[in-house]
Amino acid sequence: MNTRRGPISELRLYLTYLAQHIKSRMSYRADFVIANLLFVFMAASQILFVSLVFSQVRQINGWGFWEVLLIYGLSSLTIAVCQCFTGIVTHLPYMIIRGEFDQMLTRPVSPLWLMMMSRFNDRWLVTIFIRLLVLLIAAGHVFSPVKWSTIALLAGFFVCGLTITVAINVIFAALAFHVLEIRALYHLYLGDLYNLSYYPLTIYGGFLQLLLTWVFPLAFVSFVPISYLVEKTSYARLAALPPLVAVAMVVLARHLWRTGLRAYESTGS
Amino acid sequence: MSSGRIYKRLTKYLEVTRLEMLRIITYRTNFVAMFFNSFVLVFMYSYLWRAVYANSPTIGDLTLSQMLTYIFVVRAIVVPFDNDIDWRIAERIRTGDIAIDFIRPANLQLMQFATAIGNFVMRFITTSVPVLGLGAWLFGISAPASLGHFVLFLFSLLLSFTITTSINYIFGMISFWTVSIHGILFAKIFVSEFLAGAAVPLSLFPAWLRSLAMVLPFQAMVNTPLSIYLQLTPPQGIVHLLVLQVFWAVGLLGFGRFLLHKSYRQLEVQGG
Repeated sequence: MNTRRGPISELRLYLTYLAQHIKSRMSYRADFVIANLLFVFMAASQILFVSLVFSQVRQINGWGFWEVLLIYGLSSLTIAVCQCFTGIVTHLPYMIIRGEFDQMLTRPVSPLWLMMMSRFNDRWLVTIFIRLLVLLIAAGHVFSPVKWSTIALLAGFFVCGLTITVAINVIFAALAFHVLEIRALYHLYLGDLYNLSYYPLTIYGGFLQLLLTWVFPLAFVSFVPISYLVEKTSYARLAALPPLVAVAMVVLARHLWRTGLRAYESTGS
Repeated sequence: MSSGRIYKRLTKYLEVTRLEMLRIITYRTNFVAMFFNSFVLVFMYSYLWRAVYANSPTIGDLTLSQMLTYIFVVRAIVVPFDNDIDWRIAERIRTGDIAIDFIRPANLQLMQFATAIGNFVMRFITTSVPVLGLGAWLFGISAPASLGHFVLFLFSLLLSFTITTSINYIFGMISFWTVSIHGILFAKIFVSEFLAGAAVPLSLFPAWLRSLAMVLPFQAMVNTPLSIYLQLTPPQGIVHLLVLQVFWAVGLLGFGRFLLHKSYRQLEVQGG
């Protein structure tokens, strides 16, 4: 069904689609500005909240202001980039209902890539820059002086975290093949559960800590890496795990997607 | 006006309320989602504030118990005051269906309030009560200072609800006079998102932000009832806050009514 293309030509195809998409989206200037502003306000209120709290105390659970901002920065940047490029994937249930999904199966590219290519969620753009800024400024305050090894490690951890969050998105999309109502759980994950990862994991009770480490591995996105880099808490010992968790999530995501897609195709629609 | 006629006029609006409640019920997964949303949020804030309070008995003049109570009451009661009638009105204006609403033998503003009441009652039963119950049980939120305070708190909540709904109604009606209302409605979401996201008692705000917040109706919606509940202000302060709230409530209701009459004109002009 799918002609096999090499990764380079897939990438070139992707970039072409992307360029086209950006051009057509820019024509919706007002919509673009408003949506971006909304996310910016959301980010601003999150940062404001942390600032307000730290205007009254010096540390939370042993974590100072800039360290908490560092955790927030890395975690929020990861999800922002993730949603920007792969947020569309979770619209799968809607596309199935509207019958739009079937045409994707006829294109020469795998439907997953096609979905990611067709909707570059530009509402996140400004927020990405802001959160990146927060991350960099916080890093500047926490690691002084900043070593190249720290930057390299941060970048590496970011890639792992991004992989994990993208995989989670795909998993939810794959589950939607079986249970359409999974979107409620997805919104809970994206809106509330993910929020928890903005703060030091150790403030939460045992149950939540376990949930965020071994069920939704969000701890590996930001808290474990930062713990390792600032050498705090026992979670630093898990620092080798993010890449492994990322790989495991990708494998799981691919498997679930393949089975879900096959089940969908075989129902003869 | 005989009591029979009053009753007859009232049943119209009660019907609107009933329909809205039914509408909310049909979104079953939405309930559960709303509940879990509030639940996880207050969980997060509870843990967060407990960690913050680890070394200080009071922050911004509030004890941990008061802070938790503040968070809980805001999330459980005040946040559900908000509704989407601004979007719904705007949509009906856009499609022209608003003309049907004008023909109906009922006041549009009152109908929107009836809808808002139905919306809130349903959300209160399904979300607020469980969240508050959990709060009292797990996190020990404190009860109001006295029965008198509680009564005033309820009165203040009533005003808060009126203000919130009035604001939504007014924003919805504004689309009679603007080409695209969406930008403005989003702007409204920004501000409430911002203020709710930084949902901390005003005493934590830096001075300049506090004066800004005092000017906006935000403090009339959230700060006033909570200040009464937690007894954050002395009795004279309470009277002052309540008077301000009444001023906002009456003012916004009046402005809403004014907009309604102007909109009749607007509809005539457009030949609808």
